[in-house]
Amino acid sequence: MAVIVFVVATGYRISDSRYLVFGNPSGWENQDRGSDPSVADDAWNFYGRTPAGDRYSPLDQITPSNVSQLKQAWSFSTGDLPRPGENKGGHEFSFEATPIKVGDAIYFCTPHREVVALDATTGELKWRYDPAGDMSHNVYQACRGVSYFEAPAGAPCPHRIISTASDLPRLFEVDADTGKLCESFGDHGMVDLREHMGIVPAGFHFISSPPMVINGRAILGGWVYDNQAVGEPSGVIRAFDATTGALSWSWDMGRTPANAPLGKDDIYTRGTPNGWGVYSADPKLNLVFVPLGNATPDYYGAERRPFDDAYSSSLVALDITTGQERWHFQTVHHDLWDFDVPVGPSLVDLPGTNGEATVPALVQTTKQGEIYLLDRRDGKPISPVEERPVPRGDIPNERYSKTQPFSVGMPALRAPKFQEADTWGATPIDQLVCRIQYRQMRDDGLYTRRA
Amino acid sequence: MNIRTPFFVLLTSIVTVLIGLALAGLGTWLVLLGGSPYYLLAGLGLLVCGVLLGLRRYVGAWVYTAVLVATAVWAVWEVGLDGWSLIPASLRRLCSASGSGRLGSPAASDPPVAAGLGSGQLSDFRWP
Repeated sequence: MAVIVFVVATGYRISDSRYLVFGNPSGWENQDRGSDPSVADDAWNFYGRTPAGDRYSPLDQITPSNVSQLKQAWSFSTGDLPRPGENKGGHEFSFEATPIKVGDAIYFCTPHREVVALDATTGELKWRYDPAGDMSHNVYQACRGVSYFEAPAGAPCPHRIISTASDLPRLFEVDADTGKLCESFGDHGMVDLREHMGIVPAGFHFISSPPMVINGRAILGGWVYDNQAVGEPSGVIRAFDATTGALSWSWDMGRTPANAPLGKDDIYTRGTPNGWGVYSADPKLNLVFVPLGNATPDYYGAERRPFDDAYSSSLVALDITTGQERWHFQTVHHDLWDFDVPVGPSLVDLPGTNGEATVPALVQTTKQGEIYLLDRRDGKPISPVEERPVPRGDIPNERYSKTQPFSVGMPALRAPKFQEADTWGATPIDQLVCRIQYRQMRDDGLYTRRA
Repeated sequence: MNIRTPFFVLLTSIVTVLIGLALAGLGTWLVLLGGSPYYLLAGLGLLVCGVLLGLRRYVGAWVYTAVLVATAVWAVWEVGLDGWSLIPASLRRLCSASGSGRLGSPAASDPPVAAGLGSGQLSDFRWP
C-alpha cells in the first residue's frame, strides 16, 4: 500500500509539470523599443493592443507577485445568449471578443454583433448599438472585437468604433461617444460588403475579426462557410477609407494585378484563400500583414488553381495605401490539413548586425506549431527555414507537395509523437479500447496523408 | 461452482470473471494489432482468480495479488511515475481491491490485497 501511495504521490508531483517543456531558446532577443507612442500606456487600442500585435501592456502595477491578490472590481453581463438551435447540431455560439480600451471606455462586440461600450472604471453601460438583422442562417455566431478610429480634424463623428454585422456582411461605424451610427460613413453609417462579391448565399460569408484600422484605412477579409462547395465567396482583402467608407483598394489574388480596380459588373475571384483572422500592421513601413487560410474545400485540393496554391496558408504583406503586394511567405504548400494561418504575426525588432541599428522582424505562429521568424520588409526568413520531405498520399487527382517548410532554427510548439502508452481511460477497459483504436490508425507525423 | 459460496464472494467471482473476459478478449485483439500484451495476461490472471474464488479457493486472492503487483510494475515500467497516466491501471487495482476486502475470510490468511487495500485508496489520490 505504501508503495502505491508513493507512486501516486510522486506521479502527482511529476504530472503537475509534465506539460511544461522549456524548448531551446531561439537565441534571438527583442530590442526593447519602449512602448508604441501611438497607443497610450493605459490603453489597449487594437486587438493585440498595438498594430504590431504586442499583446502586452507596459503598465507595471500588476506583477506576478501581487496578481493573486486582485479582487473583482465589477462585472457586466451582455445578456446576449444563444437563441434556439444556435449551440447544437454543429452550430456554434461563442463569445470571442477581446475588448479594446480607449480613454476611459471599453468597447467590444457580442456574438450577435451588438457593440457595447462600458465605463472602464465602474463597468457601467455607456451605450450599446445593435446592427440587428436575421442571423439564424449562420452556423457560427461570434465576433472577435471592434476597432477604433480617430477621424481627421474637422470630420464629423470624431471618435469612431468600427465593426461588422453578420446577417449580411456589413461594415459600420458608430460614434464612440454616443453609440449612434456615423451618418457620413458609407450609406448612413453602413457599407454593404456584398458589392462585387457575386452570389453570397445566406450564412456563407461574414466578417468575424475586427478590421485592421491603420493609416486611415479599415482593412478586412472575411469568414467563409468552409467545406460546402467549390467557388464559395471570394477571399478578397479589401480596404475602405475609414472616414468615408469608400473602397480604397481590393487585393484579389485571381486578378492581375491583384489590386486592379474592378469594372462595374466584375466580381472578385471566387473560392480564393481568405484572411479571416486578425491582422497586424506596421504603419511606418506602411504594411498590413494578412494571414491567409486555404482555398476551401480544406481537405481536398485537386480543384485548386495556381494562385490558390501560391497563397494558401501564406502570410501576405500589402501596402496599406495601394493594396499592392510587397511579399508573401507560404507556411504550408498545397495545404490539405486546414493548417490555415489563424492570426497575424507579432512584430519585433531584433538587434542589428553589421552596424545596422535594428532589424524589423515578425514572429508568425501557425496551427502546425511551426514558428517563423521573418524580416518584415521582404518576408525573408531570418531564422532558417528548411524544406523537408513529407509523406505523399494517393487520392485520385490530388496533388501532394514533396516537401514542407520547417522552421528549424526556432522552437516548435508540438507535442512528441503520440504513443500507445499515451492513451488514457478512466478504467483499464476504456484505455484498452483506446489502445485498440490507436493501433488501428496510421500516424505519419505532422503531415499525415489522408486515406 | 459451490452452492455454499457466500453471496459476496460469488458476486466478486462473477464480476472478476467478466472483467477478465473483457480484458482477455479485447487484449487478444490488441496483441493481434501489435499492441501491449499486458491486458491479455492480466485478463487471463483475473479469469483464473475469479474461477478460483467461485470455487472458494482463496488462493485466488493470491492470484489477484500477483496480478496487482505485476500491474504496478508494468504500469510504472510503461509510463513512469506519472499520476495521470497511472490512473487507468491504479483504478482497476483499487476498485477490485475494495471488492476483495469484503471477502470476509479470516484476517490471518488474508493476502495483502484483501487486508491492506481498503476503499480509502481512492481518496488518497488527488486529481492533478
